[in-house]
Amino acid sequence: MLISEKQVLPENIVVLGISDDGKLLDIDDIAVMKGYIEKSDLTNPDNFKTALAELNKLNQEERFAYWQREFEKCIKCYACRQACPMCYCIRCSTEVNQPQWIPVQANTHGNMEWHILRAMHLAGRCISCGECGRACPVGIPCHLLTMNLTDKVYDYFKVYAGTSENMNSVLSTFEPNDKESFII
Amino acid sequence: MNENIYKPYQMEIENIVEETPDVRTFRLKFKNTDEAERFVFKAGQFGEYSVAGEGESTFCVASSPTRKGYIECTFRNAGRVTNSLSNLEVGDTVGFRGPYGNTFPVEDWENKNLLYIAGGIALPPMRCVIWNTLDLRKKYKDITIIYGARTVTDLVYKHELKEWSERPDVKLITTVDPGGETPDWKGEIGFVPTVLERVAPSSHNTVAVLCGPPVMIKFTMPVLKRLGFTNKDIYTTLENRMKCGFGKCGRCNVGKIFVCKDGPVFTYEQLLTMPAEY
Amino acid sequence: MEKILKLIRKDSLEKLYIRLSEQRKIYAPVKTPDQKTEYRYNPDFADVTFDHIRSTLSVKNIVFPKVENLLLYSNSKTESSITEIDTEKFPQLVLWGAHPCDTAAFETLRSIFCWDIKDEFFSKRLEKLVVVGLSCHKSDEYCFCTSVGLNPDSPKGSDILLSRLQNGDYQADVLTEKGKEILSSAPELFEQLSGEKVLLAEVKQKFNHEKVTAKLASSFENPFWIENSLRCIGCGACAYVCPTCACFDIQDETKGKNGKRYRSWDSCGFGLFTLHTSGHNPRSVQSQRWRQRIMHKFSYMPERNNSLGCVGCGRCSSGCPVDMNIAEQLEALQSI
Repeated sequence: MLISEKQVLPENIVVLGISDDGKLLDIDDIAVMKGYIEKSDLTNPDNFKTALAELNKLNQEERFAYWQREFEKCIKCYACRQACPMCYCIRCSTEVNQPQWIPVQANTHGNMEWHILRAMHLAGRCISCGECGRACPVGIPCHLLTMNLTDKVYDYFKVYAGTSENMNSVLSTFEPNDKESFII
Repeated sequence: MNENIYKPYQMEIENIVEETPDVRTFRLKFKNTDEAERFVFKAGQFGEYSVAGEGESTFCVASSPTRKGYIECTFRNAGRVTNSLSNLEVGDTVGFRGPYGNTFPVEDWENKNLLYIAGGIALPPMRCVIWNTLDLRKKYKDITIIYGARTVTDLVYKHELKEWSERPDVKLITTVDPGGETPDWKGEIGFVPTVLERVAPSSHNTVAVLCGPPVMIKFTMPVLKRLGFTNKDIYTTLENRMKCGFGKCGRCNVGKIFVCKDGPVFTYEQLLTMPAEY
Repeated sequence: MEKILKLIRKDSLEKLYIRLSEQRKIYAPVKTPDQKTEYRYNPDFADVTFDHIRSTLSVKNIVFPKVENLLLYSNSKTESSITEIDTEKFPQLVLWGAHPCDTAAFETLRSIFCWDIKDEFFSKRLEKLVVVGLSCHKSDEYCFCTSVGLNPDSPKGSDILLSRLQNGDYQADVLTEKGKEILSSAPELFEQLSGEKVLLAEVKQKFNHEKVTAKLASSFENPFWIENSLRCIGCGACAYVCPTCACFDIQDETKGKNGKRYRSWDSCGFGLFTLHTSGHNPRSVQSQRWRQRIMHKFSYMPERNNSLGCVGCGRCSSGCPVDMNIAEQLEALQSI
């Protein structure tokens, strides 16, 4: 995905892979990488699938209340952003103050704005590594938000991020044959 | 009620001077006359100027403490707060917290020669001490000012530069970078360190005050050393990112000093003991 | 003040808790469903835990909140008026069950907020706070209080220090005038000590902080800063969970005509912390920021305020996403 977004050059990458049963994988170049990815399960990892299913059972009010409780804990340390491999903006939108898109302070309302913004910026780009949730010092499962959007993007566009080295990000590319059922 | 150290004085803009297309000078007076009377500051100190709703910004107090009843500040339109300050008009309100920081030790400089060297937008922090010493002219010996900017338009305080050049008791040398001159420019042409070398003021019984962008300081220091100035006799003011202004928020912490408390005025000798994180 | 040591039985402890909560709000530790410890306001005594090693966030929130209004303003076309915050209205609080590392941090915070000019917001909150500390009978591999001059039963910062006894009751060490006031408000709950042994955790000393401070004074240019900070991702987690970190940001936020100027937690580990408007950043690389964190806590603060900027609670290491362990790094530094 990073190659598609022109952040790294393919020839500068060395891949150290470990298979599910702990063996070192030999991945020489992009072609081998793609082949490996094609054979893998690209849906969200199992343990996260269960958590997501649980969440999706709740109705809209219950889900909102759940996230409100979680984001009350957020201290805006940005560990989630720093740990995410796809968050590489030199100046994050939270660090722009003309205008101040996201309030600096860590109140629940502002925290929700931050996490929803991050999830939207990752929609179509999130590779479901789960690092954001793992990095959070106060234990907010923010990876569930981004992974949920990964599922939704697949529902609409039938695409997972990172399956090719020259993908176009689904939410920022326009194709003439894109579905427009929500407008027309 | 106990004093809230974060509460600004309310100031009214008395006068605005557009120094260059993006640099303005405000003359501010206290809205509250009691506060105006009690207010005291010394040359070298700075304050936090604010627009309610936009935030606070750090500028020096650019007017001299010898002139009562108002303070002045000069700033360039560079970010959110300075942008909204630039949109204000005479009569509008500006918040001011201060004065913070240490001062130029003008009493120690009596009976000495003074050499002021400034570049570009760094003249404002020196203007307070220049006027301070000019207003008390008899206490000091020769006063020389070397001021340079990139182009003629970038020179600030043009009106005062004219005033200083016409005074017989001040030697003023203005310069612009090569390529920045206009056809009718009568001053020097060259970078400040080069001009300094050309003018070669004596270092005997002289105090040098140097203020400018890091690159200018880097090249001017060796010239001053070659002219014989000692580290104790070279003064500068540092600018760091500051927020609170009184050593609590941690932003301007360099080594064990806080630029807002132990500075912004430092001698070169002191600078050498600090890690180069400014 | 002379030493006052009393016994307080487990059920008297509950009565004391309830008695204190009649007059003040109580901030006490509870265990969350996922086995972490969190401080909450006014939990039921039954939910309060005495078994925690460390809470996820420190308790500095009650004297240095993560967001705090400094003043309110109102803008009209002609006037801009300011409303001040009445610090006398800050509530009376009891901090219950904080370990010695957390209570010792109040002194360090005071050395930052009250030096030179006094920060009223912090001082008033501290003035209205009564601390019932709890010494540690358990520790883990992240603890290193003994390396920074503290102990699992250090009295620093507590008004009354509770220590668990072998039989489940507690020893109450009444340390300050505020503690004496509590004692005299409920004398029937405190009894004579019966000679039971105090259960105290053992925390092995990992390094000597005086030696580290001395070593750091000449280590500014040492390349180990770069090696040791390669994996630091520059998030603010360590500074935010730390009980002694007090760097803050001041921002304005307006809605319509009214707004507030507030301060919120900030971290020297963020890339933009020292960024000048001109674009120049004195600490543009993460290794410089990592160095600043350690030097500030272990070298600059001792030199300037005579107080160490660390209490050895271990939250930074246990909360760090990439396991930057301060104690390990300083241990290694000591032997260079």
